[in-house]
Amino acid sequence: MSGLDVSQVRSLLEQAQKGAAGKSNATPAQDFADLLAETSQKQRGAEKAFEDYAVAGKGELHDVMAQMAKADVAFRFLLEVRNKLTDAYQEISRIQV
Amino acid sequence: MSEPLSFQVFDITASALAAERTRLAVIAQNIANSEVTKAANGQPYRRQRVQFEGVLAQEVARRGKGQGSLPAGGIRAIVGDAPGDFQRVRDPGHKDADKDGWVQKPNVNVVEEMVDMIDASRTYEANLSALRTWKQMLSRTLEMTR
Repeated sequence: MSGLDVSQVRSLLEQAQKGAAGKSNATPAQDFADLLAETSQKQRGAEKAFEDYAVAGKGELHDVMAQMAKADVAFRFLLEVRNKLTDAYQEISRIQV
Repeated sequence: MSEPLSFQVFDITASALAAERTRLAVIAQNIANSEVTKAANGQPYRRQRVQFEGVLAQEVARRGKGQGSLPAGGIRAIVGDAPGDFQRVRDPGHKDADKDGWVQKPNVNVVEEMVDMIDASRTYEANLSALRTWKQMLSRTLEMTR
């Protein structure tokens, strides 16, 4: 880690703050809620494709599998983000006052 | 809002799988009808063939990706009549024989259909492999933070 000095870190931080300011009143919690909604939408898509195929007899098998694969990846991404968030929270809660 | 590439890949592969399934259905139809001397139009069965067409980004942009439409970069199968003369076989007494005893048979060559079938099946597998590999890559990426 030779190439990273403090000024670079500062400029990165400033960029990140600008990025966050660009979105109106977006908090990490709000971002997470958006991600949750999007993941849930993917799961509903997979569920609908499954129902259409298995119950209504519409659509194709590979479409169902593709939708399920999408929902699977989206959900595992959500899990990773949640793990990271809870890790950060626990780290902070361990700070001695 | 369009989906990120990570998810578009699934749709692209799904469109290819759909096209290969259409192709296999058409091959099955050709083999099943390879001895049909009189189809609905009174002629012998004409071999159907599948051709593939790419779905262009512009078209998706124009139509929007509504229900049933395909993703940019995906493909679709187009089914049409295959050119070629009907086979002529001498078979007096056949129900569709002409007055000289010649029967017209479909322009289907079952050997060609079998080769096509292998191609369709292998291409289907290749698309599935692409999808499996893509999923593995995504999984590995998710492990980045661990």
